[in-house]
Amino acid sequence: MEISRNTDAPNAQIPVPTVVRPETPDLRVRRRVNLVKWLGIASGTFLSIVALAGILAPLIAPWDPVYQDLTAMFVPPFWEPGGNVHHLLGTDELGRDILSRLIYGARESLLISCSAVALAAVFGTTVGLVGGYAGGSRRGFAILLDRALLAATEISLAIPGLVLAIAVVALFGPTERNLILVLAVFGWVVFARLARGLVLGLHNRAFVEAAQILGAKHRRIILRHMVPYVLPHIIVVAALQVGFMILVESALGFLGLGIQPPTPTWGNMVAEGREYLNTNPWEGVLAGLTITLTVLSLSFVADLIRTRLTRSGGTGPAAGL
Amino acid sequence: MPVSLPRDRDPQFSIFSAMKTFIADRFLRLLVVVIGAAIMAFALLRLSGDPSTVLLPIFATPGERAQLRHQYGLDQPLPIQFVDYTFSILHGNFGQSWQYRQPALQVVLDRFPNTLELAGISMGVAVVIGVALGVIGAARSGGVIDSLLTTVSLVARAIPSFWLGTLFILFFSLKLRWLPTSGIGGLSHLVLPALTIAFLFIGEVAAVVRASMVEALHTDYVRAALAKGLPTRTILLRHALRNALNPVISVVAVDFGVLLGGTVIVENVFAWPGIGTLAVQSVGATDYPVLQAIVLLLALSVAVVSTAADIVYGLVDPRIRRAV
Repeated sequence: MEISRNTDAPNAQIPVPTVVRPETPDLRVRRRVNLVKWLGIASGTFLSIVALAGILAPLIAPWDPVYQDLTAMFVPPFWEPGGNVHHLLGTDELGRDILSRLIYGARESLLISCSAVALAAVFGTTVGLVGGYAGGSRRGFAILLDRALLAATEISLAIPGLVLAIAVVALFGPTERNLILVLAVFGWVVFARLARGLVLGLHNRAFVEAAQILGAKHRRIILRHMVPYVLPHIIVVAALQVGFMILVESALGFLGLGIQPPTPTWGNMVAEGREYLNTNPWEGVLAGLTITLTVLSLSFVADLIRTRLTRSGGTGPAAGL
Repeated sequence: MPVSLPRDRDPQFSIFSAMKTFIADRFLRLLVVVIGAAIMAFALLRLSGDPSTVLLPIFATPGERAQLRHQYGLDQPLPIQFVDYTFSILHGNFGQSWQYRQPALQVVLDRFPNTLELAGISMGVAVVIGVALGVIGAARSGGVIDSLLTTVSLVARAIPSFWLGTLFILFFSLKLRWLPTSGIGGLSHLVLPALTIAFLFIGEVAAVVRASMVEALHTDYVRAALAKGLPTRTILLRHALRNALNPVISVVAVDFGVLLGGTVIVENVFAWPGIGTLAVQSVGATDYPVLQAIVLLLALSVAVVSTAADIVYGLVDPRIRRAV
């Protein structure tokens, strides 16, 4: 679902009737590569700041995120009239500092989404590797195993993840552990499909056949020859998936099914800000903006990784990503 | 592997039997998916612990709790419980909704048309706008509009829909007072939620259309049309676009689950009385039978849509049914 496809077809110019100078397409490509690079670097910087803020939250947050100051409610950000530098981004309906809450929210969002993606990637990639490897060998039992794993992925795909998450949270409670688990259950399919597809195409490749002829065991072929091939693809998709999981986690928070208040998350901040939309929209607007920028940065970084991997190899592992 | 002709080039091979195998295969998969989803829903409910802690007040006696468990069949062995559960589901019996005191399935089906209406219209809007943008992007590939489109579709995928909906309300309803903030009613109530959901897909549809249009513009039949001197608009819309539309079907089918998920969120932003608001409300009321019915109904509809799309695709494109 979130696997990005390269939308730029290789020869993306329509024949133009005018005479085209030979260096034009080259320049255009180079400009695009440069753009990807600078966007990627800027995004990486932004993400590092967000991640550091999340990790170091207790050290750098100017206020306690749940400290209420009812004498300073709805202070606007410092650039607005009435704002001040004590609360750089202003305060919410209970006089809590919005910047501090965003910093602590980063902690929750990143912890949950990164853990979920890590779990999903490890589990999904394993399933995909085993399935693809078994499905490629033409033995009855192995094909059956591949079929069974495929059926499991299809079942997972059929259940809309968000609804499953809602049900799980309702039944087991909105704790960090449950959220991570349910998001991982939601996300593993992407990795399984990707790994399976890649591995299926590897069976006829010389380096795999050579290993088989040399008598390598299945485990060695998978770990030594297939994992390194699959890994770059997995990393790119994992970066995109972290963004996607941040969106899902904050959506759950928005619906009141994420980590519960007063602990701040980006999602429940948007929900709280919504109540005062007409008069004091800042809390919701800033929280939503933070989510958008973070997710966008992740996709730019994924783009950068992808172009790097593609360019380094030519026909290497990530070519054609 | 011995070299052989593709099966449908083989004169002995009837295309109808290939189609039959293909359809049978898809239906088998559909069955597996539905059974799997049912097992999952069952397991979730049973894993969640003792319903008597939810259903009965905290001061209920152990005897009363045992009686409740007996009443719900929870004192039976798990396999028997599962068989009972399967039978009741097959009879459309998902239990009583605890908040509405009605059959759970009835409660869900009452709301389902609203969700389908919103989801369908949103997807329609996304396809119309996305195709238009994709065609423009392909026709002026590399131009300003094209790169603007790429950027916008990236951003669109990063914006959380619940926040976008909130901003729409802030701008169009509260500041400009053009449209109602929430609820269900005439066409005006549909505009904002449908646009919010469509925003999730416009970028994707545009990207797919653009890519396949660019490809189509390089084919011989487009070159022939150019050589005939047909106007650009005719070439773009009649020749290239028709062939570029197939991938859109698959986007719509693959994203059906995402569409439903997006609708569930956005319904809550605009207080749209569909399944999404019902689900969140049922969580608050710990109305498990309704939640279960929602999960199974959505899983069933996603599975049916993807099966249908597969079959349509197999009918349209012989390369796909060959790959069974």
